[in-house]
Amino acid sequence: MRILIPILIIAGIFTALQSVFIVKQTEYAIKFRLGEVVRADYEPGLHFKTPFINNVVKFDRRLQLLDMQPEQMNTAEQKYVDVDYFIKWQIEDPREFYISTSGGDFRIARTRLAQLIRDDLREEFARRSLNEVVSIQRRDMMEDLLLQASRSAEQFGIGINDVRIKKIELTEEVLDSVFNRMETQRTEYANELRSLGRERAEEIRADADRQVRILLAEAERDAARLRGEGDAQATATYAAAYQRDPEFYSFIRSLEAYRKSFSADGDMLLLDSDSDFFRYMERRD
Amino acid sequence: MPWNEPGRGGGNGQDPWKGGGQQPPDLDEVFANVQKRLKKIMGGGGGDDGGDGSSQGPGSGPGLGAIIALVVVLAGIWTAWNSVHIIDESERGVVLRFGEYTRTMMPGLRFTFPAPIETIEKVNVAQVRSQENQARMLTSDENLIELGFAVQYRVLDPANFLFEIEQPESTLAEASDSAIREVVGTNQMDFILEQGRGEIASATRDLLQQILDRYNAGIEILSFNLQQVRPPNQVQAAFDDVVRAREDQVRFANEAQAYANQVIPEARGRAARVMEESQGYRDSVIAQAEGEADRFVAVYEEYAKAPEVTRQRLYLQELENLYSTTPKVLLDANSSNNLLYLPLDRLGGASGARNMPPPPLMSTGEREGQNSTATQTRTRTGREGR
Repeated sequence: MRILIPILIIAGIFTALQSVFIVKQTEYAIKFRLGEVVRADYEPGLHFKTPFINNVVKFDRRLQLLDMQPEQMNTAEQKYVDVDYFIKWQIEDPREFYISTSGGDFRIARTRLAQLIRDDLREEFARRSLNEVVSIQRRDMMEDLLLQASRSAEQFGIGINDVRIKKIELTEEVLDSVFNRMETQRTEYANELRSLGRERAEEIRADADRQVRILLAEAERDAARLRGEGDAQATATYAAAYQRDPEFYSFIRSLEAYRKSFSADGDMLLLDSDSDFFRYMERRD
Repeated sequence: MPWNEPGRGGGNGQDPWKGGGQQPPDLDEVFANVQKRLKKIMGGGGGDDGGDGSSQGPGSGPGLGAIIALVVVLAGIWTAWNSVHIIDESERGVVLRFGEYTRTMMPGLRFTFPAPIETIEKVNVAQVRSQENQARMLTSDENLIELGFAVQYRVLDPANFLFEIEQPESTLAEASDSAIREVVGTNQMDFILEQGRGEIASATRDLLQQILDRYNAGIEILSFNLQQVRPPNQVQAAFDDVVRAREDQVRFANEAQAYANQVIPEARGRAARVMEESQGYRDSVIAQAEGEADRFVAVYEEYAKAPEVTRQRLYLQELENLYSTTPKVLLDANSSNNLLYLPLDRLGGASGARNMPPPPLMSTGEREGQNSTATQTRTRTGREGR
């Protein structure tokens, strides 16, 4: 008897433990009765089962991240790209999930999902150009993928929350042509900038030269007017004075002209003794 | 199995009642003792050989009542230290009752049921966490650009953070990678490189938050920063050249402007000089005219008083002056000699050039014409030359 009591106590505790189970906030649980699913819709908390007859399997209920390996895809214009993407999924129907994944094996689930979405993605890429998948239709495409994948994944008891494309990497040869194009574009742009600069510079210089010409021409014009003014006034002054006796003016002006005409060295005069100046030199009379 | 779980709680060192954390070793010891006693009870005196604990003598231990009392005391201590929690200001305590989420506790002294019934997980919600990444991505105009970015975030909803999403950090990394690529994919390279950084960052932040909300991740994105935006290394040189070209563009214009700034004032100065000179000319010409006119008038007035004499005087004076300084040959007008010999080689000078060698012999008839032309060959130095 003394031995029996502790054994009974231990057995009792063991049975009590076998008749309860805890479903955590992050879990789904399926209760089996000798291999047959009896219940799969447990809320988190403490639940009961019949020891030894029922057993319980639990799955992670949380949103799972499935990061896919980059896949080579072909776009509509036959450009090969490596596409990197990820899938957010979670178990929606534990019973279906358990059945379709050979007892709830997550690896099998991931493989199935990957296969499914990879094929859809391939189709989506083949229908679109690179620019469309990168830019304008990226979001549409991800939504399409999500819809399709959700529909297909339903049979596994899986809900797909999101399919998101990350990297779209160009393959080596496309990459080279992109780099070449970028370089060419930049060079063109640089040349254009420099030409624009030269154009502007030329405009500025030409404008400056024009201003210079105008300034000088205007100055010459005004200068000529001033000179003319001076000449006119001088002429009037001379005329007014000489008008008094034009004959006398002619006389002294001629004298002055003679002097200036013969003032240089090397001039030689041939004088006729008959001239008025020599009148008194020969006593002719 | 669940009875073993509370052992987790013992390790967190947050126990308010037991500062030293001495309890677990004590417990082990107690269990060891209990085991020994059970053995003693069950095996009678025969089980004595297991006495590795030298401190415990084989003497008659306390009775069953004492053991129960000890268990009760230990259970009390256990309960106390598992039901009272101090939650730091930066934390929230997420309470699970048999695995089910019941509530989130705010900072302060908080109570729960003891360990097997309720467990608590503490989540730091104040800590700003950060992720950094760098990647090359495609723009909408099919260019490649390299971006370095940092995401700063914190836990907004501890329950969601713990229960709704597996691998929250990796999810955030993947989602931010996807979000920035999506945003960059809808923008042109030039925009991203030049003025679009702020816009790109805030659009990415919004998109990322939207994605995480969709996952119920319980994460708040505090900021998304673009730390580095640059073209790929392979084309960096071409991009640098654009920067230089932009500088050149400005420099060319500046140089031209400098030229303009130089030549225009210079031209203005030259124009001013021309004006000044012409004014000087005008004034000098007028002054000269006035002077000459006055001189003429003055001379004329004296001349008018004795015209004949004055005229003769002026004439003779002038010719005297002229003949006295100029080489001359006097010819006799009445001579019958028709030929005239001029020693031109001795005269030299400019006049020699006028005649052809050998020295010509001129008739007097021609001589007069010659004479008159000779007096007029000198260039006139008229007033109009000035």
